[in-house]
Amino acid sequence: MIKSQIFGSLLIILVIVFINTANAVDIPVNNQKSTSSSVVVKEETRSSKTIVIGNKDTKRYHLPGMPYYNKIKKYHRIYFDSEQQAMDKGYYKAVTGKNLNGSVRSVGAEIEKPGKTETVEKLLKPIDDNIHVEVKAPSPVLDSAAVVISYKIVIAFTFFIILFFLPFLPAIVEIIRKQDGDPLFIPMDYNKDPRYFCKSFKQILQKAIIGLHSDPQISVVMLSQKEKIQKTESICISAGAQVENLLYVQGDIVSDVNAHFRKEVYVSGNADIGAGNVLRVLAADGNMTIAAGTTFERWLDSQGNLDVGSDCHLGISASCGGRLNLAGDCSFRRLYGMPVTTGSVRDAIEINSPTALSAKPTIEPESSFIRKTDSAIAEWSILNGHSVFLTDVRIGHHSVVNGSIKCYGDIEMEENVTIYGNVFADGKITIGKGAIISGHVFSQDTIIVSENSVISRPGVVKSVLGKKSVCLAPNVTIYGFISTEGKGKVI
Amino acid sequence: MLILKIYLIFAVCVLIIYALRHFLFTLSRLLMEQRIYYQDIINSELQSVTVIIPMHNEEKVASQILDLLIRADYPQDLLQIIPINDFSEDATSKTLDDYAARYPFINPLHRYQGERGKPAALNEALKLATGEIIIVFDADYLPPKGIIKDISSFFNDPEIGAVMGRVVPINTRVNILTRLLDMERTGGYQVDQQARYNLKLVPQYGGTVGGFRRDVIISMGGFDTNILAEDTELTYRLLTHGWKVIYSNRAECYEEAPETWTVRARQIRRWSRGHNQVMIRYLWPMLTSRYLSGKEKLDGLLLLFVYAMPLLLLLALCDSLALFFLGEMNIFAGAVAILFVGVYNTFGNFAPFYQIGTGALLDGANKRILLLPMLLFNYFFNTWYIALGLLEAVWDVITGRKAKWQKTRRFRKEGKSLYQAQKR
Repeated sequence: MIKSQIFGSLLIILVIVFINTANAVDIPVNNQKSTSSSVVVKEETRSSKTIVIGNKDTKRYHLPGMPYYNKIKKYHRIYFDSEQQAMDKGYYKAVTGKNLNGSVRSVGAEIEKPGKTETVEKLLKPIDDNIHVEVKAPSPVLDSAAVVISYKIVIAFTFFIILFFLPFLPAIVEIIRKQDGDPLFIPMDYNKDPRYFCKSFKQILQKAIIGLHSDPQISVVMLSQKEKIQKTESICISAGAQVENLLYVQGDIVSDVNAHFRKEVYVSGNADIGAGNVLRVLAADGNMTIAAGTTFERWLDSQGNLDVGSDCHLGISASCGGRLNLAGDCSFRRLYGMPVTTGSVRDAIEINSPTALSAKPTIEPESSFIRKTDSAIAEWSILNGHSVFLTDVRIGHHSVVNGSIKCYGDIEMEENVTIYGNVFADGKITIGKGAIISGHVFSQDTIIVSENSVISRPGVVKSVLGKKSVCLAPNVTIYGFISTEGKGKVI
Repeated sequence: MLILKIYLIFAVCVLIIYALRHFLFTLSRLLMEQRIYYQDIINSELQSVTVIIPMHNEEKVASQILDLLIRADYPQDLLQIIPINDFSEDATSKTLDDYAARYPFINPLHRYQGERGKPAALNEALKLATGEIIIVFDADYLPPKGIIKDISSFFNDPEIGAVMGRVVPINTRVNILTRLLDMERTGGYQVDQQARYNLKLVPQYGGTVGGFRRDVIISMGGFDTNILAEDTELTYRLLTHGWKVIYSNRAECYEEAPETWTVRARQIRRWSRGHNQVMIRYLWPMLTSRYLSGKEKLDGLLLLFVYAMPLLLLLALCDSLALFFLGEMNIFAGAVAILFVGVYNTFGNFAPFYQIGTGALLDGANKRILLLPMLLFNYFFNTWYIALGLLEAVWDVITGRKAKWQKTRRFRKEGKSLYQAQKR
């Protein structure tokens, strides 16, 4: 790309050089003389009496009847009212020398002397025996100028050809060598799974440990690269310990404060991680409890429940097969749990009241929506059908929306709003306290989920996706998947 | 003379506009915010989907696409596959019946009567389709496992009428043509379509590796069988009726690019003819649509004329030559002349190459950028056949002539494994 830019610029320079040199030899590119820096030179205005046509380029003038009188190119023409005017301007008659003693001679044309004309043949005779008037030979100065100009054109053209074909050389090499000839890679077996990391890791690990002794020892296995793996029964890790090897625990693991696990940890039972630990990866087939201030560099996954203490950093992904509960000040990128809850450790909310979410209401026709320019939905409203708002919208408290909402701006929901559908916004989505949303929440900006809100329902996986950030207040319940490319936080 | 000069200035102005558009798209892809996709949504309440695969003499490739769709990551009770045997004379029919016998969700449609061509076949299949979402693949495509879920997830947004995925040529190693076509695809999808999605302009539904809402299309009367580019026509019909068309860069699928220049010429001529038919029909409705914003209308307009540009450029080149030899190139002088020449040469000729180079960089395929100068040949080749397509489209309108559908020839050898092409 950069080469193309350079080549393009050089090409422009070449063209300009070409134009200027061509101009000097009267190739009709433009009207400019090489010595002139003025703008377009226009034809001189003819007066009604003009009979003499001059050539600005050669500084010769032609009279009516002369062979080139009508053949001078338009942009070279200059008109004079008389021969004298032409001579006064420094022009001389075509194919003659300068005016000599008031007489002029030309070949193949009539000459007009004041009051007298003579034929060509007479001109060849000397007027006076002592005076020989000859037709001047072409000027040697002009000859050398033409040679120089031709030389320049050849150089410019050669330069142009070389530069034009230069970029093709690497292309030809690549065609022959085919260094990058394979099609782009598409993972043909990819399927969306929020617990993909864990499943993939377990699969690789199970294959690698086949044949290893069950006694506690360190072995070398091949994963993505050669790794030292320590296989052990249930284990307790002491405070401040540094675990350098990949740990394969057949049982439970309990870790005291400030331990550092530099490699992956797999636990077939339960995992109880103390405060201030640093782990790369933790996968457990049982339940997992993470104390405050623990940091995960990559991901963690639990087949059972996962309880995370305050101020933990959960890496790229935290997922579990059961309930995932997060205390305050936790940060994350992706979460998955059925459900994901925030606040103190508690049981998942089971919604049984008649006003609670059930199956989504039928909207006829399903593929339809109403475009609205309203900026607010009044409190206690009931909105039926899918709605698309062109501006920011505020949904009043206790409103019920039987359908999906999409907004080109921000969506702000007051308390206790119920939406039987999805929520999409290009801007920020603020979900008020006590909101109940049956579908997905998707924003190209930020999502803030306030206290006591519930998204989706038991057994139904939905997603909360905020491009810039997702903020979860205490006592939020989300059944499914939460993701952000920016920062996720429990406030 | 004046007309020639005016036309040249007009052509350069139009080139500048398109060049700016290409630059904007490239900058959007490189530097501006990238919008996230709906396909990241994980959902347990999936919609029913019908996959339609038009097939005319596709015995070489039919079983490959069906095998891939059978193992798709989508509940089979929500999936219906309708391969259309469209006037085939080879073993396509038998192959489809074999699959139907083994898999109850594969319901072939055999057509030996009625109007020929893809739009007519799709209309008939729509009558049999039970899915809320229709996804169309051409027979030579190789869909990955998760693509049905990826494409269908977009329709959770109530405003979306159609979704387009990314097409990736698989037979890049065959010859220089397939490599150059791969690069064109890269520029067109990785940069152009994605930028239009980022900037909320007008991404285009491409007729394959894409989906649309069944009841919306049926309510609009199905596909127009008079138009060769039924996909472009669908895009503009949806847009002018208030629906949105979305592009998903990560919904990728392999296709087979033409391997000979003759086949490519026919293909691009057909695309041009069909696209220009749409241009003639939808120019005014698009400009007057109350559902489109100003920038959508502008981008829609530029998109409509994209297959008219080559003829405009060809005429401008002839025009400039004529003016040169007539000695009338003194349109501007001085610094303005330098700008004129610079714009015409640098921007007009090289702007699309920025997109292709950027797309290759984003794909991590750096070495293929070396092939960029070779696109000059594609450029002139395409210019010629696209111009012919435009003239044919204009003639279609004038005479009321109905275009005849032509299928793109396949080159895949029967039984060849697709995984042999993947070496990375």
